[in-house]
This record gives sequence, structure tokens and C-alpha cells, in this order.
Amino acid sequence: MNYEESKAVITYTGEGWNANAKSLLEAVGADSFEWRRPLGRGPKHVRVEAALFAAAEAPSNRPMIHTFWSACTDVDTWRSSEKDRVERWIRSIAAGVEWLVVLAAPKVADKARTELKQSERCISSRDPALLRRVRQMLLTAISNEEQRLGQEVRKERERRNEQGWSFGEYLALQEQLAALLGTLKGAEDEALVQYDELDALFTQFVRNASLIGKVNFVLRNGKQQHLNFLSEPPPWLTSFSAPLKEWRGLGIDSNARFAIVNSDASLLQLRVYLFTRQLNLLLKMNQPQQSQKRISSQIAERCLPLLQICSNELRILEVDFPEGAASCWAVQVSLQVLHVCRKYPDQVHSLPAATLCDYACQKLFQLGELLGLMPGGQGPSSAQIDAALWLGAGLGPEPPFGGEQLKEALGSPAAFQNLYLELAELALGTFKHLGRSRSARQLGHQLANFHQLRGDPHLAAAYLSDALTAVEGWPTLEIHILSQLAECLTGEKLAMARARLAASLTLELEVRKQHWHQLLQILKTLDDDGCVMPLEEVFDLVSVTPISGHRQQANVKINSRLPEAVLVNPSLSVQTSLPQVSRKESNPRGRRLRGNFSACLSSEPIKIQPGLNEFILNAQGDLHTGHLSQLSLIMNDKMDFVSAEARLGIIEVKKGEATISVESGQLLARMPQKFQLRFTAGTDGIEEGTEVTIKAPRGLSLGDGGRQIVIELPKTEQGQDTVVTLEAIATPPSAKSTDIEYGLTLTSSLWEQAYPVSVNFTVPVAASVKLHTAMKTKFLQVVVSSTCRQRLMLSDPILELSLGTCTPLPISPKPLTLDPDRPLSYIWQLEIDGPIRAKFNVNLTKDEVNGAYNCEFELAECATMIFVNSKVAAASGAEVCRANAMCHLHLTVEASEAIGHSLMYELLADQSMWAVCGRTAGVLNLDQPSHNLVLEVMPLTSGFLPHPQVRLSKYIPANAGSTHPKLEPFGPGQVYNKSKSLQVHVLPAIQSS
Amino acid sequence: MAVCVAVIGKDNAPKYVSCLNPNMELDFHYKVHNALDVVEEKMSANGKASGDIRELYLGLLNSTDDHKIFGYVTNTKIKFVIVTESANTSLRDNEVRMMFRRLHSVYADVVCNPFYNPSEPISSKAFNETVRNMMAGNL
Repeated sequence: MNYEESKAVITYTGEGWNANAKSLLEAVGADSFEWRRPLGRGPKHVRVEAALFAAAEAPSNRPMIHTFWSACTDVDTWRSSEKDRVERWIRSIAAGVEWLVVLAAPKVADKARTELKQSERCISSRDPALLRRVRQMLLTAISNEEQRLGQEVRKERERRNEQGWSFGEYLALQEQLAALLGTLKGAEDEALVQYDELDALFTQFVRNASLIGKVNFVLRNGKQQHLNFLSEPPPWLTSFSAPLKEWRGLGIDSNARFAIVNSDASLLQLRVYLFTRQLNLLLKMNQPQQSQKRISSQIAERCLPLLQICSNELRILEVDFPEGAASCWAVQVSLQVLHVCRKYPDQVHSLPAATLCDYACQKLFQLGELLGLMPGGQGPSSAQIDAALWLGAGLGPEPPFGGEQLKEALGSPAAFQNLYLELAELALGTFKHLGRSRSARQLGHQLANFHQLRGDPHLAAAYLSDALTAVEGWPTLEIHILSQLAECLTGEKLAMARARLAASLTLELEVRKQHWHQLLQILKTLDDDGCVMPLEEVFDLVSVTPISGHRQQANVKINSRLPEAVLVNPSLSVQTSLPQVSRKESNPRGRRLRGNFSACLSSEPIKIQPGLNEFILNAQGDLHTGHLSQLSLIMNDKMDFVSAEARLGIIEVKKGEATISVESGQLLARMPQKFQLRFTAGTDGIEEGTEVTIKAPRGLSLGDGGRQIVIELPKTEQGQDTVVTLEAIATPPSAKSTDIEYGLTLTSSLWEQAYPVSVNFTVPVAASVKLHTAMKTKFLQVVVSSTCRQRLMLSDPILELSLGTCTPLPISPKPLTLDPDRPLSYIWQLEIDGPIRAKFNVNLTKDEVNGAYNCEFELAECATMIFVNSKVAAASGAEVCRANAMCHLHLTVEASEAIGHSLMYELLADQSMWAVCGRTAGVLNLDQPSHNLVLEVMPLTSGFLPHPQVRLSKYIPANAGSTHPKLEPFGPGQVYNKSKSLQVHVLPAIQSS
Repeated sequence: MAVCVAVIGKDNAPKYVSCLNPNMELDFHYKVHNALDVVEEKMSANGKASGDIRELYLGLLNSTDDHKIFGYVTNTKIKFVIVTESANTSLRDNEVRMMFRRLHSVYADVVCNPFYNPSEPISSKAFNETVRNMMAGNL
């Protein structure tokens, strides 16, 4: 159905109709107008075009408005005759049809409006609202028609499973609706929806038809959705199963529509018809700039599903057609759609276009194989030429959208190949551009096959190499592509491909062996430069373990994937500095480079068996310390398997010095102690009987007591240890220090210079003394405490005095235990006169090891010379001391013997408890043995108060060479205070009443 | 039902590929591999659209004359691909979803096995059995 045939109609009648009126009405379609629609659909801006017809000639069955053009210009004529005419005309119009009376003069129009009581339908021809009025009426007419058709379409669709329903008739009906909507410029999408619905409905019919054979299956699963017709497909559908006679591409063919409506069309005719309609509508919609991209990309996007659905439907409906016809049709449609896409430059390289291109390539490839058009063959046989002619004829006369290349291609292999390459390269480029690497790989793979057939293995190899990188991680695909690649390669590349294939564990052993033997053949033909290949493609480097020492070695474990044993020359490069990474970057995917092997570990040729192998490589010549960097296995002097440069391990070259470490717990001084020296052999090892001289510093004796010993070391291999145990006693010079470090010096042929080692000792105990006095008797207390946090046994304490005698107070004769934090005391009574020096010695035992501790003390003059006695008593008259009452302090000072100088006494009282009234100090002349003094003090509080203290000092008067008198304190023990620590009971003060 | 089921790891290398017809294996490997392009596109599109990817089902990836290829990606970027025959018009989208969900749960069982190393191909008998059933249409 043509849109021209469904344009809305404006009829005209009356004398007023003239050229002006005609041009006026023709402008109806110039402007868009808002179209408000029922059923909640959004408003649209549309332009309405209308065909003009004289009332008598107007076609029926089209949305229509009638106009009456009056030529009457004065009111009198209107009243006399024109009014009757108009009224007659109005009465002749069927109900529900829009009409409009156009009057030549405004005043007549006013008159007509009031008299006819139709203010909306009478308008002056000069009124600017005229066009708007006409458009509105046209839209109303079209809307009414649309609703009527819409209802009919829905009704028909409901009947679709009834007997006698025909898709063709339904299509004709819905097309009327589509055509009606198509007349509204701006509502093409609405028209497109009608065709989409037809498309979907047909697809559903065919899908349901495909389920007929699966009734049992569907029922068993309890699914009810496709049970509309399960017995028989409708008769109209069977007409689409007719054998194909032609396979024309896109284009409107009136015969085809006629055939479709009469259920006499082929499947392809229907599909092509529907798609062409959709395509036309899409192209019409391509006006507004913003939506252009979206719509034009739909063209290619819609095409591919169409082709796939058709291919499927031909199968479902069991349509008979000559071999290749379906492919031929698909290529033709693709070419046409691509031709259309070329009008939109951004679309040629869009994904949908590329996918379509790709699809066309596949079909073309099939066609080429079918018709003998592929390169490399004998050319088409006569049967194939016949088939090509037959297929070409089926495409029909010249297609409207371009795409005549196909006919040409079917006729000549060269044209065919050009077409194929053009399409493939377009699609490949777009895929790569859009990042669809795998799609590009697939197409490239096909192109490679094509080029190989064409006798261009280089180009084929390039495409296959690209494809190979795209399938990384997919072993099956890698092997497949690699085997094809091997067919295109020569020389070293072929050798590498064969090696990879031989090492592909996914292939069968026999196949791998074949590749292996081919590899050996190829190697013979290679020139002397040979080829370098990444090691990991054939071998797995399991581990490289450097063995440092006098002879640098490395233990290498590799896993061979080759099917057979191979003899290789191994070498492992040693580099003092690693190459920069940039080298790798500049060589990202290509050839493995052989690094610098001037310093390397190597060995005699070795045989690598399939599976795990282990071998040792030795240094050749002098090496420096460096990284093991690259493993190279050279096979047949031609093929070099090289691993990537990496830090495989450090090989150290040491001038074999032994090292020593000291191993001991806490070592205690003054007791024989044992510690270990651990000798770690250097690269040279230690010879049997190597002598080591150990010298100790002062205060440390080794072994039997000397300060130097010589030991002999046993034979020790490189890196092994020898432990020597030494015994030593440390005697630190001073008792005060607790931790002492002794430096040992070792000399031997092992080292060029003396080797220093230090050992730490701890003094286990510390002793202090205290002097105690009782009248004239003196006692000395020695306190021994542990400083080493270990439990020790102490026995046989001895105190030796330089003068006088001492008697120990009796203690247990058994050894005493000295625990950390719990000091021990020994007490001696002294009989001495004058300053003395005392030496203390005690035996220590710890874990059966005996030692001794000794120390010396000096004691100053300590014989008691003066006795002091003081007593606080209440002042005369009172019996007890009371607070705030004066008391007397009676002080008695006696000298045990005459001392040749005066004494100074001072009363030191706590001022919060005692107030000293009167004298606080004075000088006594000890020319008489005893002095009695009374001092006045006052207690300030009640309670047991400590006695005020009295301090005595030697008083040296000023006459003896100095202008001021001098005070000198007595030494410890020289003054014995009898009343020390006494307390005075003080009662509270008496309240004065 | 399904004619090929594949599990593809995070690095886009196959962990499991099983086909109904062993002669078509290479062909299906290529098809599944090809579909990864679309998986990647959809994943990056999903990632952009919403911060978190809740919908694991990717829908139809590719279709050819003979086959339809559907995809599903787990939150750990493991991809499941199911290939069905285009001729099998009765297969609904929901059924494909169900197959993927089933596959995901069996895959989770495989990964939960402490003896399974996630970098290795899947060789679980239970998994294989489920996939076989899926391809036989018994699910």
C-alpha cells in the first residue's frame, strides 16, 4: 500500500474555490502541529499532508474533510440565496465527517456563524486561523480513522488462531494502519511499530509451528505456553513452505505484496517485504539530527537478526531451495544494508555494521567453496558455473539499494575474491578499532585460510600469528592455530612452531613425535646462526639452586615436555648487573634475546629426558659474585632455548675466610665457666689439624690457667661448622663492676689478620659491710647479695683483719643458699684498735662448679670514746611532762679516756614537737671525765615524743693558726649514744580554768 | 537444551569446557572464546552503569545461524557460557537463567572443596555430572 494512496483528503466545492484557495490548502503540510492522542499516549508533533479533490471525484475510505468555498461577499446575497445552498450542502454530509465553510468576506463569515450556529465551522478565507482549523480537522479525521483501523486490527489479531484466518489479509489490514500513520510526518515510528508487530507475529507463528513435533516434550514438562495449535500449522503458513524460486534482495515489489496478501508468497518474499518497509521508515525517520545515530545504527542492527531468523525459519518450515540460495540471499541483503549504511560515515565502522560484514563474509566463504570461486583451486567446474548462473538469476533484476557486486562476484573468481577481501578487511578493521580482539581473531583466522589458498603463506602467517596471541590461555585453540601456522612458515619460525607443537601436552604422543621428527629435519636445513626460542615453551624451569663456594656450581632442575630425549649443551649466564627493563619493553612480544654468556656456568652436553631432569653446572674460569640470569640449552648447535632474563639466584665467590661465633649462656666471673666457639668454614674449608692460637686478656685465664692456648681444628668442609668448647675463669679486678667484656684474639693460618672475639662475664655476687656498736663492743656485718639472678650456694665465709681479731657469731656450718632478691648476712665481733683493713672471702658453688668471692673493706678508727646520755624530765615541782610546760633535759657526757680537745654539743629538736628554750649549743672542756648539763625544752604536743637529739663534734678553737674555731665530726662508732631512740611520754597540757 | 557449557576463569582462560557432541569441540571452543569479547563489553558497561554488579546474568552474547550463546559472570569474575541451538525455539530466557544459577551453585561446591586449587581446570565428577544433565535437558 502506498502512502500517497492513504493521504488524508480535502474535498472542495462551491464558487469560491480558486487557485488562491488551492495554494492556501497546499500549505497545510508545511507546519507541524501538536497531536494529542487518546489512551495515554504522549503527544507528538506531526505534519499532515492532504490531497485535494473536487467533491465529486473524492475517493472513499480515506480520512476526509469537506470544504465549501463561498464566493458571496455581501450580506444580502448571503441572506437571499447563499445561506440555503450552504445549509443544503451541510445536510448532504454524512454524520461524523468533518466539514468547513469558507466565506469570502469576514462580515459574511460573521453572519454565517450566527445564523448557522456553527461558529467553529464557518471561517473567512482571510482569517489567519484558517490553516490551523483545517489541520485540526484533518488530525481529528485521521485520529478517528486510526482508532477505527486500530480496533479492526486488534479484532483480527484476536482471531488469529481461528479457522480461515490468513496472515496475508491481516497484513493488508495492519498495513492500512501503518500507511495512515505514515502520512503523518513525525509519526513514522508509529508506522514502524505496526511492521514490527507484523514481524513478531509471524516469527511467533513459525516458532509455534516448530514446536509441533515437540508436543510430548512440552506436555511432559507441564508447560502450557505454546499449546495454541499443536495439531497442525495453519494452512496459510504451509504456503510459506513452498520451494524457493527466487531470492531477491531488498526492494518493494508490488507483485510480492499481492502474493503475500493472497498467501502465495515465499518466506523470503515476506521477510524482504517487511524489512524493506521497516528500512524505508527508518530512513524517513533519519531527519532530526540528534536521533540520527541511533536510527541509522538500527538499520544494520536489525539486519543480522533478520538473516539469522530467516535461516532458521527456512529450516523450520522445511523450505526447499537450491544449495547456496539462502547464503546468496543473505549476502545480497547484507550488501544492500551495508550500502545504505555507507551514507552515514559513522555507521560504516559501527559494531552492527562490522558484525553484519563478518556474517556476510562467512556466507560468502561458504558460497565460494560451493561454487569453486575460492583461490588456489582449478576454477569453477561447469556444474559450478551452472549453479552460479542459477543463483545469480534468482537474485532478480537490478536491486534498488545497490549490491550488484554479488552477481558480478558469482560470475568471476577474481571479483568474488575482491568482494570477500573488501568485506573481511572492513570488518576486521572495525573489530580491531572497537577492541573486539577475539572477533578480529576469528575473522583473521578465516582470512589466513583464504590467503593460504591464494598461495600467500606470508600474509596467512601474519594473520595466524595475530590470532595466536588472541587465544592465549586456550590450549586447544593455540594448538589448532599453531598447527595451521606451521603450514605457512619456513626456516627458523617453522622450527620454533614445530618445537612448540612437539611440546604441547594436549596433543597425542604420536602427533608430537611427528612434529619432533619434522623439527629435527628442519634443523638440518637451517643456517649456522640457528634460532633462539623461549625456553619455557618447551621446558619448565623448575629450580636453579646456586652452590656457592670454592667451585661455583648450580643445580638446575627442568621439566622437559618434548616427546623424546634430546642432547643439549647447557649454560647458565652470570651477570654482575641485571640488564635494564627497557630492553624487554622494546621487545614486547617477539624474539627472546640471548644475553651475555661471557661469564657462565656450563657442563658437558647432557641428555634431557622427557619429564623432570636435574643436572649440575660448573663455573668455567674465574667468576665474580653475580646473579644467575639466563639458562640456555642449545640443541644440535642450531636451536637455542633461552629462558627469560631474571634473578635466578646469587652465586657468591668468597675468598674462603672462616667465621667464628661465640655461643654461651650467662657466664659467671670467679668460677670456671665453659663456652663454645663455632668455626664456620669459608669457601676453602678448614684443613685437618689447622692450629688456632687463642690469647686472653688480663683477668681471664683459659684452660689450665694460662692466658694463651692452642687448639687444633678438625677437617671442615666449606659452609660446615666446627664447635670448640673452652673453659675459662674471669677474675675481674674490681668488685664494683658487674659485667665485664673480655676480648679474645685468635690467630691462625685461616685469617690474614688476628680475629677478635669478645666474651662477656657477670660477677655473681656483691658484698657490703655495716659496723654495729654496743657500748665498747664492735660488730661487723657483711651483706652478700646476688647480682646474677641465679641461685648460688655460699660456704666457708672468712674475714681476715690486718690488725686485731675477730670472732664470727655462730651460724650453721652447712652451705647457705643465696637467692636473687634475698641477701645473706654474716656477723663478726671485732677486737680492734685503730683503723684496719678487712678481707672477706666466701666460697661459691653453682651446679657443682666451685669458685670463690673475695673483697676488701677499710674501716676507720672506730673505738668508742664518748658516751652520751640524755633524759627529759619535768621541771621542778611537776611529776610528769606536759605539753606546753617547761621540761628539763639532763645531758650527761662521759669520755672513756682523756681526749685532748673540747667538745661542742648541739641540741637538734624537731621544731614541730620541741621548743628549745635558752641554750641550744655549747662547748665542753673535757678535762674532767664527765659533764652534767641541764637544758630547758618545752614539748609542743602530747604523746610519746622522740628525744631531742644531741650532736657532738670536735671543737678546735681559733687560736691554732686560724681565725675561726673549727668543728670536726667524730668517726662512726666513736660516740655511743645510750639514749638513742628513747621516747618521752608527754601528757596533754592542763586547761587553765 | 544446552549443547556446550563452559567455565572461564578470571584471566579469560578456560577452566572447563564440555560439549554435547565431542566432534564439535574445537568449534565450540572458538565460539565460547569469541563470546568473551561481548562478556568483557557487558562487564565494563555494567560496571559503569551501577557501582555494584548485582545482575550476574549477561543475557544473549552472540548468535549465529545455528547457535545462541549466553553469558553469566560471578562477582569473582568467573564467567559461565552456555551455548544452545538456535533451532531450539522453546527455550525461554528464564530457563537459561535457571541453568546458570544451577551452574553457579555447583561451581561454588567445587570451589568449596579444600582439595581444589582454583587455578586449575575443574575435574570434579559432580560438576561434570550436573553439566551432562544440563545438556541432556534433565534440569
